[in-house]
Amino acid sequence: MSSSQMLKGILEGCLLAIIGKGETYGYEMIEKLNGYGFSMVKEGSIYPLLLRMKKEGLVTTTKKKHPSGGPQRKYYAITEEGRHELEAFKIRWKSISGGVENLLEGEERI
Amino acid sequence: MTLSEESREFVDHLRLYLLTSGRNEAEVEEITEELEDHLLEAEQEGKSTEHITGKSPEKYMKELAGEMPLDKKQIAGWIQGFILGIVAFLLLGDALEGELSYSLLELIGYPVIALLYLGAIILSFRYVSSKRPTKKKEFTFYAVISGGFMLLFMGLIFMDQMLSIPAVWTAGPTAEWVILVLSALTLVALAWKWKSFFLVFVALVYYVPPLLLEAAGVQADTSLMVEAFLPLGLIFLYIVIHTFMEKRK
Repeated sequence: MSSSQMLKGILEGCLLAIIGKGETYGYEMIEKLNGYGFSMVKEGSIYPLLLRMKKEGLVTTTKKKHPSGGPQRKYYAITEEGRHELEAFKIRWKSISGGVENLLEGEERI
Repeated sequence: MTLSEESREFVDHLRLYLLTSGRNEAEVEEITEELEDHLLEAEQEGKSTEHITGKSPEKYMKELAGEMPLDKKQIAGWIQGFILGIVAFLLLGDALEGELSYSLLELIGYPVIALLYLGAIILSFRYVSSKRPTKKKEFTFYAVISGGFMLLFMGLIFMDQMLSIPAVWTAGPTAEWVILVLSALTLVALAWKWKSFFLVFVALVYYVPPLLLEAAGVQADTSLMVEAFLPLGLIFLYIVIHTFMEKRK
C-alpha cells in the first residue's frame, strides 16, 4: 500500500463518518473536515472517493433544490453497508493509531 | 453569482475530457454539475480554482475518470452515428451528381479513413482538454488534422482515377433516388439526435449552389469559383455565429 493510498483510505473513513452524522453535500463535508482540523491538500480529492463509495453502495445520493434557487445540489446519505464499513474502519483506525502512538511514545511491547 | 473564467474553463475541459474518454453522458453531467456547485461556493469564500483541483488539473481529471466506468454502448453509438453521417454525406453528394459508382478501393478506403479521422478527433479532444495548449496551438492542431485527412480523401480519389480501378457497383436510376432520399433523411435524423445541424448545413452549402447554378445556366468557370469559395465562407460564418451565440449563453 502506497502512502497516498493509505491517506485515501483514511479520508474515505472520515467522509463516511461525516455522512454518517447526517445527510450532507460536498462543500459542507469540506467545511466540517476543516472544522475538525483537517487541512486538505486539494478540496476536489473528495469527489473521486465519493464516486467510489457510491459505486460500492456505501452511500446514496439525492438531488435537492437550493433553498436560494439555482442549480440542484447533490446530497449524500449513508447506507446500512456504509455503517458496517464505518465500524470496520473504526477498528482498523484504532489499531493503526494505537500502534503509531505507542511507537512514538517509545513503549516497546514485544 | 457566476464562476470565474478559470473555473468555467476547468469545468468545460473536464466535461470534454470525460466524454471523449467514453464516460457516460449523464454521469459526466452529474459530476461536472457537482464540481460547479463546489467551485461557486469556494469562490465566494475567496478560494482559487487550484485550491479545489490541485496543482495539476490534468491529474485530477484522470483521477475522476478512473472512478467512472466506460460506457461501451454509448461509444458504439457515437462511432455508428459518425460513420453513418459521413457515408450519408458522401452518398448524397454523389447521388445529386449522378455518380453513384464505386470501386473496391473506395468502398474499403472511405470507411477506413473515416474511422481513423474519428480516432484522431477523439485523441486531439482529449489532448486539448487535459494539456490545455494555447488557443493558437489548439487551432493549428485541428487544422493540421483536418487538412491531413482531407488530403487522404483526395489522395484516395486520385489514386482510384489514376489506376482506373474498375467500379464494382453502379447505381441504377431507381437506386439513385432511393439513396438520395435515404441519405438526406439520415442526415436530418442525425442532426435531430445530436441537436446540431452543422452537417446538414455543410451539405446544403456544398450541394445546393451547384444545382442552382446549373439550373440558371451559369458558365462553368464562374460556377466553379462560386462552388469553391462560397461553401467555405458560409461554413466559416456559421462557426463564427455559433461561437458567438454560445458565448452569450
